[in-house]
Amino acid sequence: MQLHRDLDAFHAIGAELHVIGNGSPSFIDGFREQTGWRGPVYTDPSLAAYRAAELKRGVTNTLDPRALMPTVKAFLGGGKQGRVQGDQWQQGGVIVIAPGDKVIWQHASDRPGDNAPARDILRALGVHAA
Amino acid sequence: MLHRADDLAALTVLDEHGASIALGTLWKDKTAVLVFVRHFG
Repeated sequence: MQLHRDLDAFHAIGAELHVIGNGSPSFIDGFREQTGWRGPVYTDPSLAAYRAAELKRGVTNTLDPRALMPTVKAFLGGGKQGRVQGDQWQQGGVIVIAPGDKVIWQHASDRPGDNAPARDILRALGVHAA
Repeated sequence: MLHRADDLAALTVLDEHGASIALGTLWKDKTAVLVFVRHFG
């Protein structure tokens, strides 16, 4: 299940879904094009937020120099990064934070395809989704 | 599992125009679901 398909359910309970990636802000346009996502997107080039969110394997993978190579190549080539294999929505993790800095739900992906199901998050938010 | 997001709140991220945004502003008034993706493309 991909979270963005349940965006309406999150909006209905007054929550907003924010996507955070890493790399140059210039990659955000490409992400929007490839996924059709219209909501808020930010980038965390320093990966400080990834670390602070305690994304286990996600951090390890992200910090692996090999994982950064396509980005480096794109910079050196001066062009847009080519199509990537796999899911643009592959998550490093999801964290749900309420006003007052309260963490109310968290999921750290530990392998490809291990994405947080929207229904689990909605349940944590007190919504009983079908 | 984190219980508090104080550390996160103080960090900044960049929007698509390169402007700095304090993460804490995202959940100042409403609950924020932060989806960290592995890569942008």
